[in-house]
Amino acid sequence: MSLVRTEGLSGGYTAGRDALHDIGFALEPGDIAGVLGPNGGGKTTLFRALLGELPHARGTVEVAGRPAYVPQTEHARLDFPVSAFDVALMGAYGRTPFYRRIARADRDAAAEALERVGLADRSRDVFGTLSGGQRQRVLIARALVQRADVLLLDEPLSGVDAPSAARIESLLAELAGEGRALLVATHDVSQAQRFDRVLCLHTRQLAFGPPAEVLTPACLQQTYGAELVVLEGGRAAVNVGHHAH
Amino acid sequence: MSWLTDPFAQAFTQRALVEVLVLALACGPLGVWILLYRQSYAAESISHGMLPGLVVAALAGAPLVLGAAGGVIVAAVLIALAGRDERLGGDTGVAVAVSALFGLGAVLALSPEVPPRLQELLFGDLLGATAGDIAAAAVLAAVVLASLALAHRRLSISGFDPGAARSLGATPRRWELALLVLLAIATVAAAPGLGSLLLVALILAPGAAGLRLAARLPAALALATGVAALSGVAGLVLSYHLGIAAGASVALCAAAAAGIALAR
Repeated sequence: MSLVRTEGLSGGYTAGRDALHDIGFALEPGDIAGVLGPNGGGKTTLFRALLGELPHARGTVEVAGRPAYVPQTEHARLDFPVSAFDVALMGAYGRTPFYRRIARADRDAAAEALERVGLADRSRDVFGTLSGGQRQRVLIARALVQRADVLLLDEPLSGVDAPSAARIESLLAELAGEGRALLVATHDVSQAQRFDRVLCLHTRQLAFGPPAEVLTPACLQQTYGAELVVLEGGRAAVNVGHHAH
Repeated sequence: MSWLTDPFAQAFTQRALVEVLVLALACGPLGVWILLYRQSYAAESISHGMLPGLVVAALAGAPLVLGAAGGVIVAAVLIALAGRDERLGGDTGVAVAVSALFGLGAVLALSPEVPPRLQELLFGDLLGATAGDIAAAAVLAAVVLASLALAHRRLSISGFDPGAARSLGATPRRWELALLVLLAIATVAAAPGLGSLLLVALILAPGAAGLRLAARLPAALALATGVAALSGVAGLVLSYHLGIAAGASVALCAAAAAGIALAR
C-alpha cells in the first residue's frame, strides 16, 4: 500500500486561485522523492496539501501515516530562547494535553532523537547558536519525536556546508530505510539524481518517476524555464538567485 | 534596613506594594511573550488608545477598571480596523487611530465642567489603590498568569516555528490573538495603578531584561517576573524617599533594569 498518494490534486490558499493543478503521484515506504521546481512553483503548497492544511484543495490526498513538516532552518526563529532539546521535544507537544506535563517517555524520545541525528552533545545548546546543518538535524529530530511516517523537508540542504549536507543526506537515506517516505523540496538537480523518485513541479506536475527518466534537459527546461542555466557538456544547473521569501 | 521598611509603614503604601507585586506577576511573564511575538507596538497602542474609556469612567464616577475594559475593547477594534486599511499601511493606520483616541481622551478630560483627574488617568495612582482595586487586579492577573501557564507549549511552537506549528498541534493565528487578549486583560488590570502612559513599561522592560539575560524560556519568564517585582518595590521605596510620583518611579526602575540588562 502506498504511504502517500495524490490524484487530481488541485488547490491553493484562496478560492479560485489555484497554485497547484492536477498532481498525481504515489510513494511507497522507503521512497525518497525530490521535489524540483522554481520558487513559487508550488512545492510548499504541495506540502501544505499533504499536511491537510491547504484551505482550498480538491482531488485525492491520502497520507497513510503521520506527516511532519521540516522547515528551512531560517524560517524558525533564531532569537527564540529554546535549546536543541526543547525544539526536539516540541514534537511531543501535539499529543500532550495542555494540562498535562510532558511524559517521561517523550523526554527520553527527544534525547534519543538528538542522539540519532548526532547531536546528543549539543542538546543543551541554544538553537540559534547552532550551525545551519545542526539546526536542520534538530528539526529532523523533532519530526522523529512526532513519530512521523512521512517527512516533508523544505530545502533541507540550502545554506548547509558540504560535510553537513552529506551527513544529512545519509541520515535521510537511513530514515527512509526504516519504512518512512520522504519528500525533499530542492533546487539541487545533482542531489535529486540520488533520490528514488523525482517530481517536477511548475504549478502543474510535469513529470514523476525515477531520476534517470525524469531529469532530462527538456523536462528541466520546462520546470525551471528562464531560471535554468545549461552548462557545457549538457549538465544543467539552476540559477535560483536570492529567495524572495 | 529601616530605609527599606519605612516606606511601607502605612496602610496605603502597603496596599500600593501588594498592588504592584500582583501586577508584576502578570506583566513580567506576559512581556516576554509580547516581545517574542513582536507585539510591543500593540502593547503601546492598546494602553494609550484606552484613554477615552478611562476618562468616561472618571466622569461617570464608575470604577476605572470598567472604563479601562471599555476603552481597551474600543481601542482594539479601531486599531484592528485601521491596521487593516491598505491605503494607509498597517503601522500608519494604527498610529493615526491611537493618536485620535488619545486626543479624544484629552478633549474629554479637559472639558471645563469636570475635573476628572487627568494626571491620575495618564500616570496612575498606585498610592491610592483600594482593597477593591487590588482584588480586581489580582483576579485579572491570575487569569493572565494561569492562561500563560496553560498555553505555554502552544505559544512556544506558534512563536518559534509558525510554518510547522499546525502539524505540531497549534494554530499560530489563534495563539497570536489569544496573546493579544491576555495583553488587553493585563492592560485593564494595570490601568488604575500605573495609568495609560506608564503601564506598558512594566510589561515591556522586564520582558526585555529577561530575554537578554536568559538563554531559555522558563528562565526568561522567571527573570522577567523577578525584575518586574523588584522594579515595583524599588520604585515605591525611591518614590517615598525622593518624594516623586510612585507610578513614574516604578516605570523608571523597570526601564533602568532593562537598560542595565541590555548594556551587559
